[in-house]
Parts: sequence; structure tokens; C-alpha cells
Amino acid sequence: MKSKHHNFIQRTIINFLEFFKNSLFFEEHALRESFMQNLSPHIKFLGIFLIVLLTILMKNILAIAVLYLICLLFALTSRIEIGYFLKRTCFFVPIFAVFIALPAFFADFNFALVFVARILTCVSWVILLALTTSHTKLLNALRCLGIPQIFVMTIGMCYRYIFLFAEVIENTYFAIKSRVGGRVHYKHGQYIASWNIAQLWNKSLELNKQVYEAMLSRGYTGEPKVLNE
Amino acid sequence: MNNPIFELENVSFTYLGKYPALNSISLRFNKGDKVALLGANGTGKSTLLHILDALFFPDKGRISFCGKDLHEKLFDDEKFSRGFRKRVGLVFQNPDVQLFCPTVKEDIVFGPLQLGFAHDEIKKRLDDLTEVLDIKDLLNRQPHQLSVGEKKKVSLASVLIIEPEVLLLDEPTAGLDPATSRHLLDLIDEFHARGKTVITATHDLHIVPELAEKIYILNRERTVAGAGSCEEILEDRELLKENNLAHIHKHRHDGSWHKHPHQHPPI
Amino acid sequence: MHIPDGYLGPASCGVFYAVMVPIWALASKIVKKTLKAKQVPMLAIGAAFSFIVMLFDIPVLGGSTAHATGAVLIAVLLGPWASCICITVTLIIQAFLFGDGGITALGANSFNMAFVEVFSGYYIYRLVSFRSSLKSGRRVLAAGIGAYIGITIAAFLTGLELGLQKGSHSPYGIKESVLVMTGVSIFAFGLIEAGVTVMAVKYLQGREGYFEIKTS
Repeated sequence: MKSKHHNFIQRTIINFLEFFKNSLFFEEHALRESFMQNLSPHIKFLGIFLIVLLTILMKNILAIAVLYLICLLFALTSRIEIGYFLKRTCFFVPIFAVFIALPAFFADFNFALVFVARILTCVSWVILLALTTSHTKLLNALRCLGIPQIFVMTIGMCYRYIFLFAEVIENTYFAIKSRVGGRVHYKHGQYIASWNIAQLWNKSLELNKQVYEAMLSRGYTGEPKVLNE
Repeated sequence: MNNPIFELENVSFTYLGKYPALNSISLRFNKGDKVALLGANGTGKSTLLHILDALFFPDKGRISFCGKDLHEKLFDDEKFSRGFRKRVGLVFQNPDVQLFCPTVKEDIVFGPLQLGFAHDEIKKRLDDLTEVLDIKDLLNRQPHQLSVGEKKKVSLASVLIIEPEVLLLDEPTAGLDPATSRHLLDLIDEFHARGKTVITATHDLHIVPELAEKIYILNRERTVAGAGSCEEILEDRELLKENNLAHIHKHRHDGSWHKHPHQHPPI
Repeated sequence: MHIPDGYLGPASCGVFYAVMVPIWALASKIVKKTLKAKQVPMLAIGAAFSFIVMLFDIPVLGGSTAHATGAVLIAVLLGPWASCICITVTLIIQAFLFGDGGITALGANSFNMAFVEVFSGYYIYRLVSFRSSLKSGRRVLAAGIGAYIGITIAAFLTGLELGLQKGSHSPYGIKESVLVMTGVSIFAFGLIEAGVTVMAVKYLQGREGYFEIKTS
């Protein structure tokens, strides 16, 4: 019974980390040549911002549903698997929203429905933007909008660091697992875990310092640059 | 002929104020030189290369590049910084440090994009380089997924594309199979033949005769223990042994193990 | 404490953006001036750390979500202006990549977590730790108290903002949302935030060169 629970947590952690590393960082959807991917990042960015703004003004459930369906349509024509897209967009925020609004469903059903639908539609459009645009292009668009260089630089580096953190966590997890063969007393387990977390912190710092030096070495000044195709 | 490109005078460096890495090093590198920095693990070779690439600066002593003293404030000047980064390139020992973009292509073009090269020029260089290095089919791959050999090639490409005047290499052939090693060495040779300066840090005596005409040996005390031409140093067995660089081979003969040193005669 | 798109009306979103723009501009100027080249990665690491800390959030009935932020910890280490940038960066990444926190609500979320939480927590830390040595226990306590109060104020504000939208965008009124958000912070997440901050500060006090790197 206990080990089943354990395995579930382990698998969830690993899945989460793999998701981070592969679909998030390596931008496989952004690299596909298709509808949304071929639009200029500036147009996408402003367009989607306006759509989101429009959505939060709407009160009619049908209108919101139409906007949502258009989003799904765009996702399909940009070669994003609908299952993946739904997982990505429904998993986190909208489920929270349903939970948060639960009591309201009993009080004013229509209002609560509109509330959740609005959130779902906005989240879907924003994630569509993220999936179909490589992060350097997005950063470039942000920079063109006047966002200061230090923000853009930090976003770019942070994006990569999150990936590195996920890698280190994953490696640490396997290292702990390989060290701790069978059952271990919880106090010792805590010790192993916190020691590994401290090592994680140290290794990250060291690795990231080196990566930054590698960036400096090739002339990095903090500005996002994209090769125009 | 004697055109100094780097001059180091009594350069010392300590990590975190506690761990000495370089101890009063005085060296001089001329334009067009082909130099190897030889030393066992932990003798400061990487640190020296990092200092040559102005990634950090000596605690004591001075370093100059083409006559100009290098220090931190100098690199606040964007024009100078950019000029320097275009002229000096460092291929890091660990390719994972050097490959930080989502795709191989982005990693290779990162340098020239940051340095403001024209996009047409970048595309042209990308085509030529990937042809020569035979990595054209790796362009859309994640650097993460490549083999060590492929990573090292991409790493090298990401620096060569800038066409620097000085190429700094940190253990370029570590972990590579003989064929890939050969390929890399040929490229570096070709690069040098165009009048560039190549400074390689390594402890692999096999590649030194190809990569160097001059050798500097760094020892455990973090100083220069020997300097000379390739022939002189490689034939000095005592010096090599003292510095943990002599190769001792062990093999079986008729059921018993037998050890003997072997030499690496220069070409 | 992330407010998603659709929870705040456009006018409110606009107001918060208007308030944050000069703050962001100021932060950018101040941090650029005092940041040395080799400290730049620290900003990104701070933001990444905060990102991971914020991943552990749970929905709060009647409010939005509750989670630790690490905002005051980062302020203690790098200064409040740098922390403002770090938390904003984290919020931007969460908003765009996960839809966690709306893009129209970014101004409001930043106001709560990147400004109010950071500065209130930081100045309380400065007050409580006044003139004590860098390695003292008082510093650790001060950081914990600053973090606890900072996050609770941010939670309170979030509840307030949500409650004010009753009828138009939010299903709940002020009384409920403020009570729920602040309560969860006082009794749960405030303590977790304080705990994480205290542990981290204690750990870093023992290590050379990491504590109080200060960029402002």
C-alpha cells in the first residue's frame, strides 16, 4: 500500500521533471513549421494580449466559448496535439479555478461558469503563444516593447536555469535512490535529503557561474538576438 | 616575428581567497604561436586560459593583450569588450557549459549574433562550418542529446564561427574517439595555418606534437616548471616524470605484468 | 496569491500596471548601476529559486492560491530592488509558460509580490536586525519575521483586490476573500515562508561569500 503511494509520487516527480526538460526548454512545438509558428512574434504577442483583454470584458458564456474554440482551432492548425494542449491548459489553473469557485456554483451557477470559462480561455491563448514562439523571439518582442534590458536578460537566463535546476533535481533524486537501496529511517532520510539539497545548490551555483562565463566569452551583453530567417 | 599578443607578468590568482590556482606566472605568447600548456590535473591550466580570455582577472600581477593592460573596468566599455571577444575565443573543457541554447544551430550562431555580425554573413559561415565539421544534420537537435564527440565539435564550431585571432582550447580531445580526435586536430592545424594563434591546455602527450611548437609546463606549485620547444620538452623524461606527465604502460607478458615508460617522440 | 486573467477588471489591471511601470524602471536603473558583471547570474538564480518555491501552491477556497515566495529572502541577499526584479521575472515566466497568473493581472501580481511583499518584509528585517552582526541569530530571526509579515500583507492585499471585484469578476465579496487569504497566510503559508527563509539564512550565514551580496 505504502510503496504504491511512494511510486506514484516518484513517477509524478519524474514526469514533471521530464516535462520541464523536454517540452518546455527544447521548444519542439515552436520549431514546427506551421500556422502560428510562422506569424511574427510581435503580431502574436499584441494580438493575443488584445484577445485576452477582450475575454475579460465578456459576460456572455457563448461568446467566451467561441473564443475558446477558435483558440483550439489555431492550436490544431499549428500542429499541436489536442491532448497535449488540453493537458497543458486545463491541468493547473482552471482546475484550481473550479475548486475556488465551487461554492459560487451553488449560489449563482451562470456567474461561476462564466468565471471559470474566462480563466480557461485566457490561459489557453497565452499558452498557445508560448508553445508556438521560441523564447528568444518572445524576449526580442518584449525588448522591442521597451522592457528594460536587465529584465529581458534575467528572464532569458532564468529560463535556462530552471531547466538546469530540473536536471540537477532529477540527478540528485537518482543519486539518492541509488544510495538508499531499501528502507531508511526517516531521520537519516531527512539528513540525506537536506545534504543533497545543499549539494544541489552548490552544484547549480558552480555550473551556472561557468555557463555565464561561457556566454560572456562569446560576447553576451544581455540583449536577446535572433537570426532572421 | 616577435609580435607579443599576450604578456603575463607575475600573475597570481586564488579562488575565494583560499585556494591558490596560479603562482606568479610570467609568460609571453606571440602572434602566430602554437603553444601547449602542459600540466597534470589541478595545475591551473584552465584558470590560466580563463584569465587569457578575460573572464576573470589576476589578483596580483598584470596581463596585457596587444600591449593593453587588461582589467575589469576596461570591459565596461562595450566597444572594447566586443572587440576583444571577437578576437579571442575559448573552447571550454566541458561542452555542456558551452552549449546552453535549445538547439545546436542557436548555440553556434549565438556568438556572432551577440557580436553584431550581419545575418547574411552568419548564415554563410554557418553553412561552411557545418559542412567542414560534418554536423549539418545536427542543427535542429538538442545539444543535450548529442554524444561527447558531437558536443565537442559543436562547441568548437560555436567559437570558430567568430573567426577569432586567438584560439584557446581547454582539453580539446578529452573523451574523444581516435577518428573524431583526428578530425578536430586537422581543423585546428588548418586554423593555425591561416596565421592564427593557438594556445592549448592539455595533459595528453599524444596530441601535443601536432598542437604545439612551444610548450610550457605547469606544476603542482602552480608555477611554470619548464619552457621550451616541443622537441626539448618531450625528450626530457625527468621533467615529464616530475610533473606526472610521463606515460607508464603496464601489460602482460607470459603470465606476469610488466611496466615500462614510453615516449612520445616529436614529429 | 497569483491572480489569473479574468479575476480583475481591465480598469483595475490598468491601474496596477500604471503603478508598477515607474517602480520597474527605477529598479532597473538602480540594480544596473550597482550590479557587477559577475553578479548578474545571481538575479537569474534568485528568480529560478523563487519559481521553484512558488510551484508548491494550493488553491484557496474563496481566494486564489497560497504559496511561499522567497521574496524577502532574496531581498535580504540581493537587496529589495533586485528582489523586485527577480519576483517580477518569475511572475512573467509563470504567466507566459503556465498561465499561472494572468498577463493582464501581471501588474497587480507584481504589485503584491514583487513590491509590497519585498519592501515591507525587507524594511521590517532591517528594523529588527538593526546593527546586529551579519552572523548573529538576530539576523536570522529578523529575516523570518520580515518574511512572515511581508507575505501576510501581500496575501491581505490580494484578498482585498479580489473582493473589490465582487459582482463583476469575482464570485466572492471582500469579507470572505480577505479573511480567507490572510487567514491562510497567518496560519499556514506565512509560517512556511518564514521557515524556509530562516533555514536558508542560517545555512548561508555559515558559508563564505554568499550572505548579503547586496546589489543596492
